[in-house]
Amino acid sequence: MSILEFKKLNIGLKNTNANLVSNLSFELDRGEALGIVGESGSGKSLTALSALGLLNDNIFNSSGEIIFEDNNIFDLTSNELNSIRGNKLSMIFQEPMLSLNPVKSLRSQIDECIELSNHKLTLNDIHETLISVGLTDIDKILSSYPHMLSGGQRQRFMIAMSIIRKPRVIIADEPTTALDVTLQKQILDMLITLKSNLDMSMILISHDINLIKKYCDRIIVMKEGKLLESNTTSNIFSNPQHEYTKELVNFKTPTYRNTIIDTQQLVLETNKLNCKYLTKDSLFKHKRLYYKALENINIYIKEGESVGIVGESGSGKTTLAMSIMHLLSYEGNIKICEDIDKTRINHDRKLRKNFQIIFQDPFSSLSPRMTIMQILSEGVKSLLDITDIHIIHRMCISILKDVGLDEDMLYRYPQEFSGGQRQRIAIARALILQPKLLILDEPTSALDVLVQESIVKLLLKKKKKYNLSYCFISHDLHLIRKICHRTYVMKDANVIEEGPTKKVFENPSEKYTQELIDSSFIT
Amino acid sequence: MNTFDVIWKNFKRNKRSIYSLYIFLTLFILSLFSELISNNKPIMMSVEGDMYYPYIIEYTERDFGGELETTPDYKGYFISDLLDNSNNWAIFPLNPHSYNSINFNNSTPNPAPPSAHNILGTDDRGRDVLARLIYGFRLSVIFALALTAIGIIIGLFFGAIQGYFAGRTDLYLQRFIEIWGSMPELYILIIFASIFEPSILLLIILLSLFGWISLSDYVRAEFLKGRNMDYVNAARTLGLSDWQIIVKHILPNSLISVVTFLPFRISGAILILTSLDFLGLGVPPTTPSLGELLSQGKDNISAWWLSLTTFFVLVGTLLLLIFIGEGIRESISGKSS
Repeated sequence: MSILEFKKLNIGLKNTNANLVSNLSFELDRGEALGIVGESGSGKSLTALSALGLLNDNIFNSSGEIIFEDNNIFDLTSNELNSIRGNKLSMIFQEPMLSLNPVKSLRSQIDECIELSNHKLTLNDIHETLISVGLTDIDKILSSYPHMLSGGQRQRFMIAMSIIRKPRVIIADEPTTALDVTLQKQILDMLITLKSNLDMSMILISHDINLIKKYCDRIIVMKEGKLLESNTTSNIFSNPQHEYTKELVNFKTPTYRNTIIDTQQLVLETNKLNCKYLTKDSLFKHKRLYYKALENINIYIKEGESVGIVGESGSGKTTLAMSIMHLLSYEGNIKICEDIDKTRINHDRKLRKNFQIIFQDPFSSLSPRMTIMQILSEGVKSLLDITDIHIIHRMCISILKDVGLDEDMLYRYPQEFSGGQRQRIAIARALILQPKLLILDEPTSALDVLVQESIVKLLLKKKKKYNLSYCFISHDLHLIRKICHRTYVMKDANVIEEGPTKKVFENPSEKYTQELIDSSFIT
Repeated sequence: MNTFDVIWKNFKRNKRSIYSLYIFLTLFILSLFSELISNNKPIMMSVEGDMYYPYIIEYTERDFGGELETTPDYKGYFISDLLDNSNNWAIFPLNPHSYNSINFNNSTPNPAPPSAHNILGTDDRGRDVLARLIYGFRLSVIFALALTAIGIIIGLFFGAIQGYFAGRTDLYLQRFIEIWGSMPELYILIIFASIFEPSILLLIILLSLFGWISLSDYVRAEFLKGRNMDYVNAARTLGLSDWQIIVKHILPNSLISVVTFLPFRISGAILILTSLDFLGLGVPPTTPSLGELLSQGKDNISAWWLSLTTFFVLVGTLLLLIFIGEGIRESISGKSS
């Protein structure tokens, strides 16, 4: 028995006539967990929003039918819609910080839900719901403001707000994408338990097919606003029909890099690396408080080696990258290519050509006011001392081709390109200097799955060609497993485990590492 | 497409702003040639077959066969008598008065109401109001542009240094700005006006000493934001110096706030000059200025042509600038839509 049914849903933009969702038909059965998977821009979120009648009529054109309890959502008046929203159909959004009002206490926000409720809810109900989503110390939480909670707590609170009125259907739009891996698993586990306890149906939207596989009974694959394939989870994985689905299902096959690097040449060596931030200033030295971001880190990278650094956010991964790049001050020693250290870099900036970095977010790592040519040639001019415009031009063209881009992009601006293209430009900017060590700080986490894949392929290819050493910082264990020879696991500013990737993944000695691997859905 | 191209495209879509910009630019460019439009010297004249160019060359009365070794009054009896001769002719500018030339031929006492001689009448010293308005407008706009430009340069400089280096540099400079900003600007102006000979240059210097503070705050905030962007870190790993990063990376991305303020700063500066002149603290009395005309209008309430015309010129200028500013602000905020 279906509870929510989409019939030939079409959503388009009013002023451009572009079709964002076309002819989408599927249904959600009672008590079912349905997964919608697709890359960004595939129309997943629009479909979810349209089910609650949340699309702005001034911007979007929608046609078709969405049947919920014998009513077509599109035919309902706004009052009727309001009585359904939250009471019968509820939604969990991706970003808990943005979905909660920052200037209202959490109590007044959840009170709002109760006022709008169709049936009487008591304070007791609030307590019960908050406990059921795994929150503790309820009174303290109710009197605090959103910024006082952690990301996980906020998302739990959001979920509590959406289920407190016991809806029949809950739509979760990437509910854990903004959270750490270990939290992801806890929250999704909790959500599925709630679903069966409260007898709800659920639509789970995600770009991660492995996550959906674990929690959903049925999967819908969407691309460019079209439904490509719809089948039970086991069928999708055992017998994918569409080419795109096959790619999605197959691309994460466990392979390890077993080649042993038998050189003694080190490109990076840190010795008792410490880094701390001032959190409370005082005139007197002993009263100052510091937050330790890195504590006695000793790592090394051999020439030609790929080393992974994993850990959740706040573990000090990015601080480590910034220290290696000499972008912030630290205590201890960092040696690059055996003889470059802090004093030499301060003395001669040109030594920076030996080590380069790729940042996480390709949208903020390229200056929006510079053309690609200017971006690429900047380092060439300042680090390689090449001033001849013709030589630089030739270098830029060849490096663009090298990373799989066209030369006619040279005089365009970064905002004209997609995330994947921008990341390629960032890679080109680093590679044009022919560095020995390349640090990659979550280079793919801002990108779609299949784009991620192509960037990884590119990186592997370039590594061979330029004999690069990679320092791969990521929370994505699939990626680390695929690329890295050795892996360091970081937690709370310390390296807690290290070893060949295969050993760390299959036979971890620390409990925390095991947890991390479990929550990454590696099968 | 570059962001500034996008902003310009959006700006052009706003009809009121784009027309305001065109009108303002036309008026300003015309006023740059005030000497050709409103002057008491003929552009060229022919006396008994000889060509004279009084606009460019200084002649004495003796050159025209007179007695005196001084510049002739081209509107006076001597020249008019010469021109009455049918062989002689002269081309005068559209408005044959300069901002400080006195019309001695008026039949009514000064300030004289509008007449065929003086289209907008004369002020209380017999000087042509239209001429004074044209020259006053030019002076106000040039003064405002100079003050704004200096304010922006100083404001950008301090704001950039504070925001980019942050930490201690920021702290000390911020304290300095607080002390500096709490000095009583008006008293300092009054004191200086009584010590030194008042002049436009002195005014610009004194007002620039304080005018940059409000802007530097915005620039500082933009730089504080910009210095943590990944592309700034990337530039640092590419070996760029602090100066290069400031100029090439953060500045272009912080200019938006400066551009937004531009028209409002210009209109503010015009208003400051006018009010100082009105109070008698501004430019010396012979200089054409809108504020001085307004104060004359206050002294001669019945001479409506003084206050009313100045009022319209002032309000018109400020309105045009505000429409332009509004358009710029909207085209920047509407960038994403």
